[in-house]
Amino acid sequence: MNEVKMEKFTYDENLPKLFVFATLIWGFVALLLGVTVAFQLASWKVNMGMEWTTFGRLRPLHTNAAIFAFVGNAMFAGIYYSTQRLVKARLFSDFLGKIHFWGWQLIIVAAAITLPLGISQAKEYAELEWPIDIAIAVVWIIFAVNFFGTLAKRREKHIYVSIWFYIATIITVALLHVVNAISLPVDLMKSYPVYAGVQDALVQWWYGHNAVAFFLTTPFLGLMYYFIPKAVNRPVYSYRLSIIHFWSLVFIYIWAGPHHLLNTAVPDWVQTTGMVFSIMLWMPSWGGMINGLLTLRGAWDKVRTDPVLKFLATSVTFYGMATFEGPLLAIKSVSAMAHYTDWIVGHVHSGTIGWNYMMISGILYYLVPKMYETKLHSVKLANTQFWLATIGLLLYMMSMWTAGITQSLMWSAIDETGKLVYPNFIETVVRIVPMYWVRAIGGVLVLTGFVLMIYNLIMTIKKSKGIQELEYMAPPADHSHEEANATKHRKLEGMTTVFSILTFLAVLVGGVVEIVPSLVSDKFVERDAEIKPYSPLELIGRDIFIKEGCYTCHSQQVRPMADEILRYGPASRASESVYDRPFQWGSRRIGPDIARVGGKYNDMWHYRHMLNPREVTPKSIMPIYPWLFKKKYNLKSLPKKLKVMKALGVPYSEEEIASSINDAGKQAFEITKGLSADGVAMKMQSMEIIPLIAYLQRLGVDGARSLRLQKEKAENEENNDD
Amino acid sequence: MIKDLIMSSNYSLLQSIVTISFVALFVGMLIWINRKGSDSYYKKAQNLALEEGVKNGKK
Repeated sequence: MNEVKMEKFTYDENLPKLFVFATLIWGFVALLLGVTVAFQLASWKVNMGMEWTTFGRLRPLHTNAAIFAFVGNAMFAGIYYSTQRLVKARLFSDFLGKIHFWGWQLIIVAAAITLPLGISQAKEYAELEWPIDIAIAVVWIIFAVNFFGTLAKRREKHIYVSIWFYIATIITVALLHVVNAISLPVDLMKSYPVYAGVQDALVQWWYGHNAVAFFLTTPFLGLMYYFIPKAVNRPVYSYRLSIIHFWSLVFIYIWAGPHHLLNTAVPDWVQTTGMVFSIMLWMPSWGGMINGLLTLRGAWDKVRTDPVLKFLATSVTFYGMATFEGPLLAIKSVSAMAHYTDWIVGHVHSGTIGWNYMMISGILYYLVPKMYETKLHSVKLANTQFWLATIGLLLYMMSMWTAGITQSLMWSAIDETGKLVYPNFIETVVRIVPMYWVRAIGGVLVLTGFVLMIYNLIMTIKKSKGIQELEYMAPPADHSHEEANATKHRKLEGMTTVFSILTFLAVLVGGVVEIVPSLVSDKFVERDAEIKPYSPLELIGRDIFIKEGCYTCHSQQVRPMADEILRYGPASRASESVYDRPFQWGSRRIGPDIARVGGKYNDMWHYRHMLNPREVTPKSIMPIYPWLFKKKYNLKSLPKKLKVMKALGVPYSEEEIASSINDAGKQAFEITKGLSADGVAMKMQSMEIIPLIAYLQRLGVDGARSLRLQKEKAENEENNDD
Repeated sequence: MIKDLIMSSNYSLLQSIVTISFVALFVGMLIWINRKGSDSYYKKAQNLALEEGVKNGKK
């Protein structure tokens, strides 16, 4: 009998530890920002009157910090820790691991600086400007090289299901990020996307939805399949089910993006496809949840006492709830009610707090004592955190359900004479402000729990009596030949490259089918000669609109429902946003839709509104924007902006580009002259408020003219026929 | 050419083909993972999370 030769090796423990520390720091920052923006909606004064601290600038920072800094660092910690053990090999390169860690932290710092400064692409969860986008791609490639390099030197032939989920994450996030971020730079901190309007919306929500799927979900399912068996010391309930779970999830998830665009101007067939695939997601999601929960069978008594299991079990339960609610919200008629309301915000947080925060807490309570070879400092504190987080989250979800459903019913209420019962949007806001206070209190509880965990884990580390690197032994994997009796699946699993290519194809097909037709064919995005490009001054105003993050509160998309048409005007058409780079349809109406706000109010109304919203809309919760009246706008970069737009297909002539600075000056003069009748000084013409007014007054004007001309034409034809 | 092809395609037929393919793929996967003699293989695979090599003491 041949004796098996054992190889000695160690695991890189330092890298997961670094990512654990980063998770604690950025988790605190992300939650603190979340609590801050929650209070800003409860009381506008919390915006603090400074441009860097308004809701429009902090909300993107909160979402980026929560997704990429908090969840991202936790994901890397878990992946690096578990992958080494699952393949019984040390990381491919400690050096690449360090570059990955510090590179990722630098990207987060860059985001923390640029977003409050208003440097943004105004695409949700993809706000960061092009140099940071490139840095993300580079660091992600370094991560991929280190990960796949580790798989290449593995001692375990079989690739456990957790690693399948990690592979899907690495490949899909790279694909989503690169495709969505393609843009043409104007300068170092400004770019315009190559996609416009409907196309940009489709690409963005293909990305946005799958950022949830492949950044917040698939890596954590991989972690679930590793850490739950570890914590209960028993294997996953059904490995067969995990295979079905994996392939169905990665294949179906990628198709679901268009459910963010239901009842909008995107083609109907894309909306229906997105909705159907979202409903199909019920099956794999619940298959995974059941598999996770049943792994705990026989250990339920420990869930009551062990904080690790308590967090992990709750996390999987919230995963089940969130993935039940998600497909429900993706049904077109339910979306008609829930979209643009706080119901969606509540749903998102049931996932990020219920699934990610709870899972991360469970993993950290497992990892830190293990990596520092000590016991948890205080089980009592961990239990306190659990109840604070659970109660906080329930307060959050219930208040947002109540706020969302209440506001939606108020928006859509029509009386027997066919008029809106609540024609003033502000009436529907005032009614839900108490819910904003409840949500903010819920957030404080979640944050407090997190602070307790930071203290608990620091004290745990302090208790450690020094760590000595552990040495492990395993037989080498023989890569020189396939096993004689290997099944086809066994062979496939042994081939990381082929497996990765199949995963790539599974996720690619959905994106290609849903997006490519709209990119290459005019059949799905009609053109309208009456829709003209923005004037140079309006373009400057649009960039200010983007800088201030106005899209975080105001949508620009009227849906074809009776109440929306009554409130805002005719439903938006695809042709109306063909020059919108980026599209600004938004995802939440904290304030009213502004797709057709042009001409609705006079210039002075907008002037006063931006200076003090409550002067024209009593009880408004919008922040004040005094800096728009003190800061001069940049005219110098205008010709370059128009040139970039022209390169992207916007029909600006060379003459228009050459005279853009003069033309902008003239339009600014005219607007300010009009305002001067009400006492506004002419020197205001060079301040940011003027282009912003120009942009707002343009919104929906071309569309309205086009509809009027179409109507006149139809009437003339009818008269001629008579 | 791609543009023409996309604009002139018969989508109703394509939708039927795609739906049938997806269902067939899924049913095929169900049958395949429950194939005869795979029990021992899956049993070994599902235990991998609990292994991390043999501890050889402190380095």
